[in-house]
Amino acid sequence: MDLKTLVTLFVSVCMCSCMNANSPPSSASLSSITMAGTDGQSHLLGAEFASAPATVFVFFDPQCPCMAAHQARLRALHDAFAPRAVRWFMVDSEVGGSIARDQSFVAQLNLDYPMLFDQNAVFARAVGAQFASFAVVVDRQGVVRYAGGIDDDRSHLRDDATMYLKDALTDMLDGTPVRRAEGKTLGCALPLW
Amino acid sequence: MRLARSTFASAIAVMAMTHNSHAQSCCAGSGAITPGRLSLHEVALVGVQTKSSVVFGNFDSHGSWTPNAKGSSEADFEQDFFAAARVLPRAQLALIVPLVETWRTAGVTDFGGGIGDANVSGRADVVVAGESRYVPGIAFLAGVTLPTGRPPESAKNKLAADATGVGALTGNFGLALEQNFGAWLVSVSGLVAFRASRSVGDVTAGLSPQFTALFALGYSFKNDAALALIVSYAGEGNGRINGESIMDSSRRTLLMGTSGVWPINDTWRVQGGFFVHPPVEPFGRNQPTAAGLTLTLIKSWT
Repeated sequence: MDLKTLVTLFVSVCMCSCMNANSPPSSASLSSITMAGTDGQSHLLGAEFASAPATVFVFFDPQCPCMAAHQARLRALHDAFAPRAVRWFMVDSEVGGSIARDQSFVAQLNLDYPMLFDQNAVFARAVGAQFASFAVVVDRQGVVRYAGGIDDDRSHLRDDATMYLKDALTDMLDGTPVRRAEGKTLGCALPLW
Repeated sequence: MRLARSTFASAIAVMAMTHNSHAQSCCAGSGAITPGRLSLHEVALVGVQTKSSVVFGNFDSHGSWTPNAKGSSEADFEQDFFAAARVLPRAQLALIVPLVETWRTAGVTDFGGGIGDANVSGRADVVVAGESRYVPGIAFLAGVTLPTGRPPESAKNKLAADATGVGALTGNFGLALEQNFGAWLVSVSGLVAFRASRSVGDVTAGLSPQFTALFALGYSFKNDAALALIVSYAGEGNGRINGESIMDSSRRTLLMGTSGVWPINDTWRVQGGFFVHPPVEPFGRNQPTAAGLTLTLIKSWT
């Protein structure tokens, strides 16, 4: 293989290696998804959406330092918004995951809400989740109102961080337009295939 | 004689971009082996790496190692100023500009230095490490090393300590594979460097393509710090003068090292390492053996 061919190959890989942007998922497509939960129940997402003014899903990776760093902040957000009827779920979309494994994570993390096992990463692909700590907030109608990071911190949390998830929930519950529909996610790559 | 630094520096620079000792590629743990590689969400970084090494022996053309001759010694110093930027979601470019200083004694003492051979490198991730359980991260690497340093034939000092470059334009191409296993990361890379021929006085000098294989094993801690072990082996065939092969001029060298990264916060990190070219026959040929330390400071943006 000569030099010119190598250069052409490299440039081609660069041009073709863009991450594809996901188009927003439809309410119907999300509402029809069912996932098993660590609470022993089967969760039809459409029913979950309809039962709360906002439903939060956070994608989980047990090995990701960024995920671990955000557990306390997630707990604080849950404690602040759960009394306002916001539903919370952690989601395990990783290849090789299982309900048994998720139950052990829930116990380790002392979560007050269930983890959902997203077999074959159906939900992750539907909402465009690619990284751990990716959060999705869905309204009663099944429309995604926010998708992205919990905040703009990685593994070192700052007091003055921009709190994407908190802002989105506040805006939804206040009945105002969500100020920021997307936020950059800084977590680890999720092994979805 | 200093290691053919620009050749190997460019190889390691490009190779360095392949390595992410952070098991899950998200945070500041990336680059325990390399300074100049952007981690998963970084869009740019700048930094400076300092290297200091002492030459303690040499492999001859037959692969036999001898320690420094009595009364001779060499210490090499380098400061690499580098920057990297993400140009596409899965592609990044980096620039390294080295400053090189050599202190050499062999009856007389010589000290010299200057700008070394600059390097521009690129990396394209076809598969990001960790996004598949079964397929490793796959990245294509490419780089160009520019003869911005002072080649040996242009050195003026008595012991040529003011030589700072190879003197040849070099193109580097490689492939990197990485996979996560929990907190562990395994990385294997292969690189080939093509050096352009150059005129030295009345002759045309050329170097054979250089092949480098690199293996790295890294471990990430919960606080995002990381440690890595690195082994690389590089070799090239005989050089050429006016198209004729120079017998017994081929080169080989083995490099082993450790490095670690400590994140100060999400945007600043410190990296350090130790490396050695072990005097193990027959892994060396026509190359000096040295041991040294590196220390790096990096500022990044997401």
